[in-house]
Amino acid sequence: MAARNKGTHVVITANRTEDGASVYLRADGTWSEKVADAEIVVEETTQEARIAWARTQERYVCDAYAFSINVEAGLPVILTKREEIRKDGPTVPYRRPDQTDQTDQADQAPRAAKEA
Amino acid sequence: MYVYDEYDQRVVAERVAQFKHQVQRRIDGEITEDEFKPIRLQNGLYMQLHAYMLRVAIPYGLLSTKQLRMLGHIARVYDRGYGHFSTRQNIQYNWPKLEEVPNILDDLASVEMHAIQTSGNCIRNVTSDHLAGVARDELEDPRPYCELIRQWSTFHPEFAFLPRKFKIAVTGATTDRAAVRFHDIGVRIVLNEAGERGFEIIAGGGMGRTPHVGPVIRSFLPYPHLLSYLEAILRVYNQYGRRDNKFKARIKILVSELGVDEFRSRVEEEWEQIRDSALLLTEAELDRVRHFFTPPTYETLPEDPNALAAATLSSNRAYGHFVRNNVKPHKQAGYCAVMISLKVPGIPPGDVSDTQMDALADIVDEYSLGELVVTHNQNLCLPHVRQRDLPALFERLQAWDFAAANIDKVTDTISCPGLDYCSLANARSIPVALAITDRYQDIDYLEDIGEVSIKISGCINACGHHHVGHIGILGIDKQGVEAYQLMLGGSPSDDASIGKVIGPAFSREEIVDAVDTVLKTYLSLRSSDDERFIDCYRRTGFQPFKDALYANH
Repeated sequence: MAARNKGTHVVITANRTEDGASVYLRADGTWSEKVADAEIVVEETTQEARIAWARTQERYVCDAYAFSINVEAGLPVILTKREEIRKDGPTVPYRRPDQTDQTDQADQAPRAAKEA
Repeated sequence: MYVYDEYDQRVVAERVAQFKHQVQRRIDGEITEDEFKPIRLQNGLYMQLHAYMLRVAIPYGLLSTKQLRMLGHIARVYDRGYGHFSTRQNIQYNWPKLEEVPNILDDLASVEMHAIQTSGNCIRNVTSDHLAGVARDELEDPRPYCELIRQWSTFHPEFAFLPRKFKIAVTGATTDRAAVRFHDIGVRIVLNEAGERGFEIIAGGGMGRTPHVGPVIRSFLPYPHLLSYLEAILRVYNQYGRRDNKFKARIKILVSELGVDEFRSRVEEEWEQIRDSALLLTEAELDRVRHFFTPPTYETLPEDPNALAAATLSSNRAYGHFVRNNVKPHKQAGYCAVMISLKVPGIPPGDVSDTQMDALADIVDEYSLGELVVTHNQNLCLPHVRQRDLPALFERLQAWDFAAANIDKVTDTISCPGLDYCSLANARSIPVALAITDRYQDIDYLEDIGEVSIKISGCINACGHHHVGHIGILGIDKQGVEAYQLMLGGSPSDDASIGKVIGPAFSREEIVDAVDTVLKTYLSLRSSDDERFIDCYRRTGFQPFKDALYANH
């Protein structure tokens, strides 16, 4: 696992009011479930202004904040397990196998469901 | 079990209607998250890492099958097909949508359940012995007192905004299975020298970042004064408890800073003002509540003291292990209590699917007189099983993955949700629990190791009770990397003790091997096959374990 070295950039994230899902602020001011869509912000320049703006979106999202990333090939690289789990969902199975319902276990993988 | 009267039903229905309106105002943007947050918390709704979480109260862990079926229905319709039984005998749903939460609360209200006071700085769900009402060592069933405390504390106007959350546990047995020494208030039913019934009152216990074994502040309280005495404790805490620092706001800090004698003195002084008030508990009122907990109509069955022992030697070895580890004595001849372990390979501790809940409701109706109890160890208990039904019950449980024979064994771990779900966590807990379960699947080895409790928390808040595990594991964050402190020697019971950190933390990759080293060291040190891990540790001290752990570290 990567250490929490301070990254070169940040992205703005929040939880969606509707369902609590992790969402990321795009450059156009909309919110995406994919961190790859996030606006990459140079730390300590526009960060505070973007967070302040995000907090005006409270009807749609809660508790906006920035987290550090590195950038590779133009895409954000997450540096902490916490943000990895926020992005991908739990790392453990979240549904108990049932004796009567074995057919859809593959569909029950948390990451698949998270993206559904 | 307790049945709502017209007033109870109306209060809960009105609360649901009120919250429905508040949710709609939040969705419509009429109130901010800052305004909404305390409201949703008072209705059990948290925001976790990547979703909401709804915590539903199960008073003292007792469920009817009608309620269990509704919990399964909610998991199926509103969530992702499962629920998570917690260490406060509650159930949590990890994926509710905000606009559907009022519908969930409506459905809960239809079976006399709610999520009120499952969060926030108020008096939380009262917990108790999971064998309450059936334990052989019980002086008196504690559940009527739990119910009285629940009614007294629900919407209590003075105690809606305490300095911090407040947890109460009650036991009526001589053996403490409710961890009363680790609650804000612990209540033990006792008899005085004259044989009169009353309570031993413990205050200021707790876990979290500063664990305390609660001291006894009154060795005997006559039973009519239970509520007035609790009210006096809460008043002293509400007045003097710290509000300037969240981490020093629990009652354990107040008791510690004041000293037990000064705290007791203030409580007694307050109590003198209210001891004969409307809170005085009459025998008639107690009888009214006791009526709801009248023992079920048991069959008259012969008691064969050798029957269970013989069953442990069954040619069906899985059944034999199940009877040995999961079946507990019952006060009624010919009956027993059966523990269902929710610690099986590949499944997070405490998780049960919707269809399992439905199936279990049928099993409980057929074999346990319609009652089920959630334990604070994240297991379930069927409290009224005829011993002669055990073979058939075992087969039914096996078919639904409910027959793991590991109660009180190494794999019967308590684990908080950890960083997989919780926004407070520093490290994951569930994968550690699963790795331990995978490591120890040899039932003969489990039996050889004997009674050991492993409790895992993903942060210092200690929802996984790591301080009181014989082996405790605490997840920490070391500069962005998950690491795990190991502690030894904790116990939540009559021999209450707090585990001691044994040395530098281990990595995620090392921690299960470290547990294995501790267990192997125990096996090499124990004085006989009967010496339990905790007794061996207390006899030898932690040095031999430390030497073994860090020899090559």
